[in-house]
Amino acid sequence: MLAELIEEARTGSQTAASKLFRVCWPIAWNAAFRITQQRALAEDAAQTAVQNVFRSLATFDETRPIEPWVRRIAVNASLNALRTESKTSPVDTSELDVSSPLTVAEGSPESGAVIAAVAALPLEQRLVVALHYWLDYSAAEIAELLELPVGTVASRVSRALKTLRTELEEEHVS
Amino acid sequence: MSADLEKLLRESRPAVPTPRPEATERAEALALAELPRARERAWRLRLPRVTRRPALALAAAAAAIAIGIGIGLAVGSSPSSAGVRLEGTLTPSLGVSVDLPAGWTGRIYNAQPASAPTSATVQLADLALPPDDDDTATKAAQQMGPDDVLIILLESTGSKTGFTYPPLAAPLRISDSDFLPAFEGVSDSHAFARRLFSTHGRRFMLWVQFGQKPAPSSVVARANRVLETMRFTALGHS
Repeated sequence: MLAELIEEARTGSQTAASKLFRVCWPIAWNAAFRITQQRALAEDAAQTAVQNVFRSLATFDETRPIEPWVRRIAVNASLNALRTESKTSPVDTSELDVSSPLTVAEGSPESGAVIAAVAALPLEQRLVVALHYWLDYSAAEIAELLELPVGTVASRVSRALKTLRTELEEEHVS
Repeated sequence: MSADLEKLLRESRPAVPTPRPEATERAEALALAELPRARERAWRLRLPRVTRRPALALAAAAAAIAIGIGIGLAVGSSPSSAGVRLEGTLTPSLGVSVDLPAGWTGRIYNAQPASAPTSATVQLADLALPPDDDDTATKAAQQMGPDDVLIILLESTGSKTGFTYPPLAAPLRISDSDFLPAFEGVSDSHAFARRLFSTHGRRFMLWVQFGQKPAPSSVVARANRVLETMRFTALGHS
């Protein structure tokens, strides 16, 4: 079914392309928001991601699942958006949507504090935490995405956990 | 402690809000705007032999031209132009033949150089096919009248085309479900049908273009009468 949609979209069918968009958009949006935690950045990144997905339709092997492919493109777009933003302006955690009711965590009562603590991490640590714990990428996959040695990813996760543990203990969460 | 923290982190995935409708609309517009490029790229990657170069393809071609009722298209020496002419009987190496009614013109040739796998290309029309056209018969398409039909058959030889080619179970025809709302390079005023199929271990892409949109059923029937006479053999067999 999905393979047929992709094939039809490749031939120029707007109907198939719209249906395919409705499959890809939530995947891109979820990944973008979980990484950026900012609505405006997530929108830009997710839009760029679906644009890239459609631009690359010709090279996608439709016998493979589409979700990992779209998610990976969205993750890359989100990373680029964050990098661009951090170059133009210092990362201001006050802009993060962590206090918004929209970002209420899905889990335990402590989750709000955890999200706030993650948001306060340096960008490089926040990224590996989001990719590993919220998007389920392995250390090796993160290393590939971020073009870093696996050891560097592991040490960033370790530093992030150490910081989070301290922060959360002070708040009697962990 | 560390395990507890990791568990807590996993349980603390931020809920994702619904994207704003205007953001979704803009994303869809951006994505759909990429369709022409994706389509062009798909063709370039998957059908590299389909080019818009003029009769160069035909220079390497074993061409076959037939006019008249019940005459199988034939393959002969390379034509000096893409002119329509009759040159004998079907050459087994291309393995395609078709009977043309009076008033139709056609050509069969190999769109690949001799060193590459054979890619039979067939152009048929109920108008005079212009000489020196390209593989997709761009010039012929531009000269179509409202009641004209242009049939293009392209053989796919790539090992990984990305398309599905269902087996041809009955005489070749097009039906309503084969019509596409639009197709790159096809005039908006022309109806266009496309069908992919495999037969005798070969894969083909059929394009049928009509000089008006929607195509009258009588003209579709006329195209199908020609398509039904199309015969295929495995390469290397007559």
